[in-house]
Amino acid sequence: MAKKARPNRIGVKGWWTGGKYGVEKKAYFLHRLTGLIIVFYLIAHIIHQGPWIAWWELIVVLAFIYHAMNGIRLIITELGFGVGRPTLPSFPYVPESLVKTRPLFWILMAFSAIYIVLAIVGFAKGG
Amino acid sequence: MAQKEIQIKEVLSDEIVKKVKFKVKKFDPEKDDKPYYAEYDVPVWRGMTVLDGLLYVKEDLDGTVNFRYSCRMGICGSCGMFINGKPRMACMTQILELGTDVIEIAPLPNLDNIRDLVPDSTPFFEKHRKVKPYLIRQDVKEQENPIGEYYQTPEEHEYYSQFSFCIKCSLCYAACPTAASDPEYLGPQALAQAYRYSVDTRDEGFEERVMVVDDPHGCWRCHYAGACSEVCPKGVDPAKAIQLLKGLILKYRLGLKKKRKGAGVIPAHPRPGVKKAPKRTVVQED
Repeated sequence: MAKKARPNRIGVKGWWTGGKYGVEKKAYFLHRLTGLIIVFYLIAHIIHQGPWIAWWELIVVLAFIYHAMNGIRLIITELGFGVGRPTLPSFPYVPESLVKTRPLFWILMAFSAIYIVLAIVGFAKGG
Repeated sequence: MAQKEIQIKEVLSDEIVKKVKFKVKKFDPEKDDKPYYAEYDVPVWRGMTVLDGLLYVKEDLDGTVNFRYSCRMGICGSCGMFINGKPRMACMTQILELGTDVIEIAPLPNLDNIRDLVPDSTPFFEKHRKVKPYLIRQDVKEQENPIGEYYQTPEEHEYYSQFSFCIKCSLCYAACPTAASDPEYLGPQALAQAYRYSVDTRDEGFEERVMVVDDPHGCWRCHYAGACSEVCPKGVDPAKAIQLLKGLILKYRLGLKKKRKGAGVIPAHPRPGVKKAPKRTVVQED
């Protein structure tokens, strides 16, 4: 009688490992990470009210900026806008859904870079 | 003409152009506690695929290497493996195109490993079955005893034809980071098939399929990492199908989706200008 098969699910590690993929996979991981940072901060803020280590607040602001900007892309694309219509694939096939939404991603990343710079400058000025 | 002949000869030659090292992840549940890598030197000729290399290993170097394959030409979807850091079909991956001297081959992740390079695809197929991947008709009596085909224009066929190329190889499932951390997630393949049948004009089962797909472990778990579309060997683009499915479900939940009846039946006879077919000679017994 054969023994049981070996479990081979990657687990949470699969968010950032598990193969070489495009920029969307990295955006996916960052989105989850920043989401967790924001939730963690919210809970910590409720439990512990009072003066906070300042750089922690900067991290939360940066996480929020990325999460909001990438979130705009996800809201648009996840409702089926801009991913293209079903077509007959020709080979070598480049995934249309990724190619078509990539400009939107980079535009929003440019915006988040601007906001991040503004946030860091404001933080350095002691705002 | 002569030059052309030479070119053909070059392409077909079995001259060994390179030697590569195959690092194959081996695991025998009856003997081993942990998987380990075995190394084999494989001579490579032009046009040789990773599957050819594995067959060479099995025939000439080590008969104990286990892998699953069938058609050798990207139709059956059996030989999905994790090759050089990406899920790929072994039969559709050219060794020379990989361009590395060491080729690392492991079983597909996110599915249990039965032995060596063989994944247990059962949960994957169960998820496919869950989304009811077939035409659902309200008139079951007609469907069970068909008298003709259903109407469908070429334009209507295009709504779903891209997603119907799926060969259930589970590469997308192995690539998906959401499937990596959520065992109950339906996965890109099943969700793409849910969309494929939902937009088929012959289908009347959208509501039934929504019950399965509109779920915390269904389509809303997808956050568009795009890995599924990058690895799909048949150009199915599951990420596209899932986002379109989400849009369709939102439309349905907001009450904006028009209710439609499934396509009608083309009457078999009489059809103007078409001669009647002869009677069946083989009668199906129930």
